[in-house]
Amino acid sequence: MNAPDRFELFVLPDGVKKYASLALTADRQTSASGSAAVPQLAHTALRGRPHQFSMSPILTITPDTKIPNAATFKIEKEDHTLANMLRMQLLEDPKVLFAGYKMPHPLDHYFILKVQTTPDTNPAHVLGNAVTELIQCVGSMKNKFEMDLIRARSDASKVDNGEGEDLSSHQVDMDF
Amino acid sequence: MDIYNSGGPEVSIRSLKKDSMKFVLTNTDLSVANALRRVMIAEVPTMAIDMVEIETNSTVLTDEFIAHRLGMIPLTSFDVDRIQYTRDCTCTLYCPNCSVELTLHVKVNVDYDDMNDPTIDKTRQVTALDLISSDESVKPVSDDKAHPILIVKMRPGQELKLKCIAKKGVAKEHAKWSPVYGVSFEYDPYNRLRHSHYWIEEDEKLEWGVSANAAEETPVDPNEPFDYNAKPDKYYIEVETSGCMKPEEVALRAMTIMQDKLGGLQIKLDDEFKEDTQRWGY
Repeated sequence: MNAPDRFELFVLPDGVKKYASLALTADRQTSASGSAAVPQLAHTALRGRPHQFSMSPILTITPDTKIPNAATFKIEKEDHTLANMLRMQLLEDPKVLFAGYKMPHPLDHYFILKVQTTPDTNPAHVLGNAVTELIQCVGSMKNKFEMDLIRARSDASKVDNGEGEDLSSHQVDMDF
Repeated sequence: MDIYNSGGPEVSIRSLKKDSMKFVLTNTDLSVANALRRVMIAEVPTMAIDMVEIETNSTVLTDEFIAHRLGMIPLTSFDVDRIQYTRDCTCTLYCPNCSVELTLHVKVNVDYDDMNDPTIDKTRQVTALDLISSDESVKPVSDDKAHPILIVKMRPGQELKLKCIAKKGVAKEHAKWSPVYGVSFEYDPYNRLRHSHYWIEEDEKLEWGVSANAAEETPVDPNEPFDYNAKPDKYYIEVETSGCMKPEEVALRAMTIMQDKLGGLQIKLDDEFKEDTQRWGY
């Protein structure tokens, strides 16, 4: 009876634009001289005020105050589906020193992604690369699927209403 | 994710039937294959009955019982793109742009001649075929006309009259919107990667046979050393739909949704860069 509405899983709250970019939470990092790489506290202008605007953005980037070249991304209304893909893709990147995600609470519909990179790049940049790679990957997967679908449909033995061929019934033709 | 830098994922469809499909996905990371599985189950939109207005119900089942049963009936959803989500629609409650109306009216008349003849079955089975849709493209899945989906059984003298509002939705909200009845997902049938730990009494090989997909892979040599760097790269996926759309359509839509998810994130990240290109010193 007190259960939250399930659509909160994917519906943006009132006042949130789908692609609004509001997160002024990241600040320039002074990573020129390695050891002095203490990032300034984010959003000086907002210090002492509520952490975010009344409109909560879909993506926020918060640089880590203690670790150089590290940031926390908070992504709203997404779950393991996206988070795990991003994490695994980030870990493929040799410039990524750390990438991990968590969903802090089952009733909160967001995940946080922590990324630390080598000094010659930054977390937002490597995340951008990871997303681009994944888009290419899914796009190529879709193309391959469509191509094989044409083959499968034209293969009369495989198109059959209801019956069709079964993998277990005989040896699979490996020469696709 | 191209873990072998050899041109991205490969797909090979092994069987394509009316409401199920088997395919093998290779050359990609487990996270991508799992994302595809998750999206097929929970994020591909379909149509399902979401509101029921009951006018008369003198059957033995309660209103909410019948409403629940109606919600579970799969509706053909191949044309779901045409329909808006109600929450995105400009109407106040529902309208033809964001919903489809289905009506049902069954009244079983009392036939006094047959009344006392026990050999005549007087039970009227109200099925999904009794639902009359206002939209030709959204109607109950009825592949098996001989065994339609049963809603309620009625006796002479009983009446059921109701109006259903079918809406577009995703299974993240309620499982009735899931286009699939099951997605089987397997990798590494010989457990070479040791991701599975089998509960056994005495002998693992005897108690846990290998699956049909094992025919595609070479068995593990008991003497071969464990490769702790090995990653899964071949995924055996089977999609069984509810009949609301074709299985290949479910997979393609799922991939489009994955692209949209990532594309949305990319746009947001790009906006961040535009907003403050100096922020990171770039």
